[in-house]
Amino acid sequence: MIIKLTGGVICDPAKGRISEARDLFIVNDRIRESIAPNAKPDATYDVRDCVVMSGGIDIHTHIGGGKVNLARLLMPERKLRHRSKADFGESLSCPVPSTHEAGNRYLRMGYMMAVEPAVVPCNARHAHLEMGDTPYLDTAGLLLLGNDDLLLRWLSENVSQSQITDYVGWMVNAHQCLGVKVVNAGGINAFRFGSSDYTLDQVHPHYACTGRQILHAIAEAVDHLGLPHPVHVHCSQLGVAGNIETTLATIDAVQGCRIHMAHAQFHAYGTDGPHGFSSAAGRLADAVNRNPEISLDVGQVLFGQTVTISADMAHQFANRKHADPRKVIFQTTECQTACGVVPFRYRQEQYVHSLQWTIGLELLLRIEDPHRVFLTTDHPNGGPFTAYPHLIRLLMDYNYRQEVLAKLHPDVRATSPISSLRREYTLDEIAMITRSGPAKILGLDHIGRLADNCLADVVVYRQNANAERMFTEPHLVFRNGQLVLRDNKIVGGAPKSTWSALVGYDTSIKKRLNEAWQGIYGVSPKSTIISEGEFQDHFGISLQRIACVPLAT
Amino acid sequence: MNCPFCSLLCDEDDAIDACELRSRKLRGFGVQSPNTTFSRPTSSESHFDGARIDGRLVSLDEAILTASSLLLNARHPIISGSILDVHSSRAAIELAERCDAIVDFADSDATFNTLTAIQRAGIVCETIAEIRFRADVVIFIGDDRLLNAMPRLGPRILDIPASSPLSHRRVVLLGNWSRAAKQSLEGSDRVVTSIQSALPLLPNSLYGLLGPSKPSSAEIASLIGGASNLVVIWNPEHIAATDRDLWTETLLRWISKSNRGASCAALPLAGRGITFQQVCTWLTGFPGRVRFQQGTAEYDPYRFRFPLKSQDLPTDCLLWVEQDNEAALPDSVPNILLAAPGNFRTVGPYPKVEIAIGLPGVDHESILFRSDSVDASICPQLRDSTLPSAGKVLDRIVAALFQAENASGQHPGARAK
Repeated sequence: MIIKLTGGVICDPAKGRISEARDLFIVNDRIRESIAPNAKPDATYDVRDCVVMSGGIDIHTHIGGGKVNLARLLMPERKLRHRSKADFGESLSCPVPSTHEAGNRYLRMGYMMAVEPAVVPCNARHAHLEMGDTPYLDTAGLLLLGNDDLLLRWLSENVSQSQITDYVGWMVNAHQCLGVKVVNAGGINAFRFGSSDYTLDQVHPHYACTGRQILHAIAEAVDHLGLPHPVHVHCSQLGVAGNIETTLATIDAVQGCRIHMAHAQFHAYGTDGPHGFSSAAGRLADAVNRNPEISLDVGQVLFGQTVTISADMAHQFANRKHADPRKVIFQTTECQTACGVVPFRYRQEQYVHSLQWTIGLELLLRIEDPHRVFLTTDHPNGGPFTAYPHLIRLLMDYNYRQEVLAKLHPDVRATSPISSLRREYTLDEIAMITRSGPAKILGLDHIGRLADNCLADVVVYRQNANAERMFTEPHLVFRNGQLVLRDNKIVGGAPKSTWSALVGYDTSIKKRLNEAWQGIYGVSPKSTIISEGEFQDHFGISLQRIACVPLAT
Repeated sequence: MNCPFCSLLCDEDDAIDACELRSRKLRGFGVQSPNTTFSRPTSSESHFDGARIDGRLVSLDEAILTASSLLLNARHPIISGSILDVHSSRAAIELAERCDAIVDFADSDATFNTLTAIQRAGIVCETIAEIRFRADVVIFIGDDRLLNAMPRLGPRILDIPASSPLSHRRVVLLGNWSRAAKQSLEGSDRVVTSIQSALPLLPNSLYGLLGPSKPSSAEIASLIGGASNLVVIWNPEHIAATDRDLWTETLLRWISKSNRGASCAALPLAGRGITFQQVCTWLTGFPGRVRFQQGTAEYDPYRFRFPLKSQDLPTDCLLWVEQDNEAALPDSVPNILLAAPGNFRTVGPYPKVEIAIGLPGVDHESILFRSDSVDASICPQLRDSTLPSAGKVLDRIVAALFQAENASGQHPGARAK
């Protein structure tokens, strides 16, 4: 099957190419820049006046697993939820939609891959089941480590770094994840031992180690194992005024290893100004601009009702008094992590919420390399992923940004530097923060680009001066080379995959792991292992594994 | 290898051979040990392993076609039963969506009393390994049935693992416990105390402990006082309070108010409907009691329930899935019955369509969720079997329905992957 897209502006900035009008070919499931002179396309689409991009990639969105299901359970207030192909309204039916609605919504924006950034080891099978049931989206999971009693115990016993590295490798393979996420290193576990204000350099109340040691050990393991994605870090002190110091200390803690800072907006706060709460986005952006080993996703805040879901139980517990409506779920999870589900409403008339809105945009506007800053709302924590077209318009249109800013809290309007940032993103830069950048940092060479032989996940948007309108309704969407959406109508399906890393490690770790696992969890580690066969037999999704090349010792 | 016979899903290294429930189930299935070949009893008509229409044997294809026709023409179909594994739960929900049915797990009142309480009050909860590792005081509320339904619950929760910071713990039994039950929980590293308590009033008594006035139960107060990590465990199915949802809400609010940091938590033990509940939540946004209409899922925990014992159900087509050959069947004769051999009627009236299915984790490999909802485990096939799984049969009914819809143009397809 050969498909020709003719006359569109091809937006593929991955290798420094500038957008240009040219033809693009899809041959079966791959992109081709040209075809043999005697080959005839089976279908030709005239896409003049359109922009052609690869499929969008959401690098940090909570779409599957136990805590997501707890959030759905807690918020049944809207008793009707649309599931049919045709009947979707303007917004999500609820802050945490069903898998079916999530997949549909992503497709309707031209997104084709999403990363669940918080896969709990004991809950990994559940997360994969949900990701498998999320239609139209390729997926990957990041494994939560850094608060598991087993790791903390080993660190407190001063075991070798190689033992930690082998443990991380075993865990990533066993749970079929693409990378590793650390949430408030050691802080969740410390909370279980009664410490509510554990920070990076405090010694854990039970295990003799600090958050800094935990983070460094994992970051080093991730780099040593050759995992494609750097350690994905949710810093300590989320949402706390003045947390920029901890955030910068966290960058320092990995000691030269690669690091990805998750939902950085929530970690870029100072203590200046009339409310003792200010933007420190400039300092974080400077750190990112100086250091090519750092990337971040933003975690932009949107105004309205949402549900916050986080493994960072310590901070969620502190936030329980802000729950709106007033009900929360907290769960500690098998000595591996925890979660807090807190409904929340961001209000534009509220100073802190308005400021958070500006900080996210500030990061996006101040960080110079669009291949290292990514558009996310940390769905559903900052707001729904369906707001991406709106956010794109804010980035591309200075005047529109000013219009929205004018509605915010007066102290934010008076103090935020956002008005002075006149940068307007180009389409190429939008493609970088939503496509090629996330693909690159995830180590997925085959997507996020429109280069020869890349997977034919292709989106055609009609050009429109209003970027929000343009990115809300793609004209055509091809997945794996098959047309799946045309003018907001789903017209087909295509196979989907989940991506995981295949890591090499010293298998002699298994004996020590067995003993330690039994000693803490009271069960064998065997049942936690997810086999490759389960993906086809039970998850309804094919597994694609990326072989990792360990660093030479 | 995990055991499918209760929602603890113990693994093979967890002394499951000592479990009475497992031994009894295996004997019932003709499995002497997990490695012997199953010899299914064939003497009774109730054990037929094929398909029937109006009590006469037919091919599986014919039964599936008839079932799809019944559902296609039904105005108010209901799909329910003991739907135990992920595959059959997905397929039952897909089928309900396809034919605009109400779908729910069998006999789910206890479950929904808990879920609606959580939806009003929230919950602070813990999981099994967490309790085992950290909880210095464990309260069990209920009676002996709690342990009978999950024989390995005591050791799974109470045996202190080698690396735990605990050296001993207190165990408090509230409700109506026998001496034997108390003894079964005792051990050198724990003190077990049983206090006879009137269950309906218990949450209010516990709530009284929060107030400035004298505790309503000095004995309970002394046993739980000073706990650094207190966990309350109960099985909603064994709570006979009239207003079980308010009972649960009061208890959850007491736990939440008593919680300082992470010092007080609940573990309401979910029954075998937990897998269906999880799958339904991620597929529809709701934990069950859902009605589909033209691709829209509507949730109503009060309207979309139906009592197991009613002879007069508000449906013109009941499809019942029975994956647990010890669970109660509904009083009404289902129109379509998918059940394990041994569950079929030997005299009329027969269901219009009957199809024999295998048991999850016995006749075919299955994924089931554990009682604390956090862990999903693979339960492998235990015996040779040619019986189809409920999931596969339901998938085939969905496919037949889809074909019939396309042919008649009745109901546009609602879901594609």
